Amino acid sequence: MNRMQLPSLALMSILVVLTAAPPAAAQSSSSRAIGPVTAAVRIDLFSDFQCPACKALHEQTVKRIKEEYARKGRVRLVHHDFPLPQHSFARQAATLAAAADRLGKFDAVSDALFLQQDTWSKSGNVGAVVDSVLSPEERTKLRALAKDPAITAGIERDVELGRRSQVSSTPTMIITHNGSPSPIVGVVTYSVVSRYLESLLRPAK
Amino acid sequence: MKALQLVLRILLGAVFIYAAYSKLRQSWLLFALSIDSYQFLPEWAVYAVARTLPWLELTIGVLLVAGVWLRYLSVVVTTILGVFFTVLLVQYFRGASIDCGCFGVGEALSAKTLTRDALLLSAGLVLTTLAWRRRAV
Repeated sequence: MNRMQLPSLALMSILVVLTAAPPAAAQSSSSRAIGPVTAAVRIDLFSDFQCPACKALHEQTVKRIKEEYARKGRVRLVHHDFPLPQHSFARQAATLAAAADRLGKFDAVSDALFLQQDTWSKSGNVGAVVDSVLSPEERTKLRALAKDPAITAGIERDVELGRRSQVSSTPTMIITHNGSPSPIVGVVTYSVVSRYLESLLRPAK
Repeated sequence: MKALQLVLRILLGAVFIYAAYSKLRQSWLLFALSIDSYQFLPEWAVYAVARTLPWLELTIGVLLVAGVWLRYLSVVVTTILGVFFTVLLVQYFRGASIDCGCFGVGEALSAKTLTRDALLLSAGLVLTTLAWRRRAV
């Protein structure tokens, strides 16, 4: 869907969804949502752990945005799962990452999943990759947490939010400033994103 | 033939003006992000294209609607559309997940995008043929 075809009502509904009713994860101290709720800029990242472009964006750009902007409180960065149907193990990976988030291990698990994407995408052994960054106790807890229907429901909420926000491809970052959402599709370099963010964060003259 | 030429000229002119408008109404850095997603230009070129392309599109669109220098303009338009289509086609078959950037940000490259660009390129080719044929008579 392009801007020519995007009705303004749809944009308004995206805005309402993103600002008025943030997902549960966005309101907690979860690593899936970093940065103050009151930040002037909000980045909603729709990502699929099995998508190669998502891996590239995560490693080249998102990690730096997290460190340089979100952790410093300059923007709010929210991760949303958007597992694509053609990726057989993406949903399982999203489930385990969401469960790991409850143990405070989302960053470690998502880093490992992207780093070893080539391996588990072929073998399907997602659990082994996740286990590699957890202690034996955490592994046991994670297996129990992963069965919680709330985890699956959370992923479904993310997917639904993505659909309502016209997300059709991963990765997609929706950068919202002054209530105006701008979707960015694909892999973009950190320096270009950073320049754009700085332009948004610069005080108005 | 004259009517067809008029229709194609106005159609392509309107598309170029709209494409320019959709980019110029937002921050040029957003268009830079779309170009950057193609991952084939160095950063300085990304910024240069993001700054200049919308104005070039606007100029071409206005000249098309005005109907001036049509012979040469139709060649320029067809060449630009040909370059756009080739780049999109290559990226599509590479399986790249990119932002088309055709009419502002947020449109993922898809078969629909390619079809639309192929139709515009065809219109450009017909317009060029008509423009040169008319002059040759």
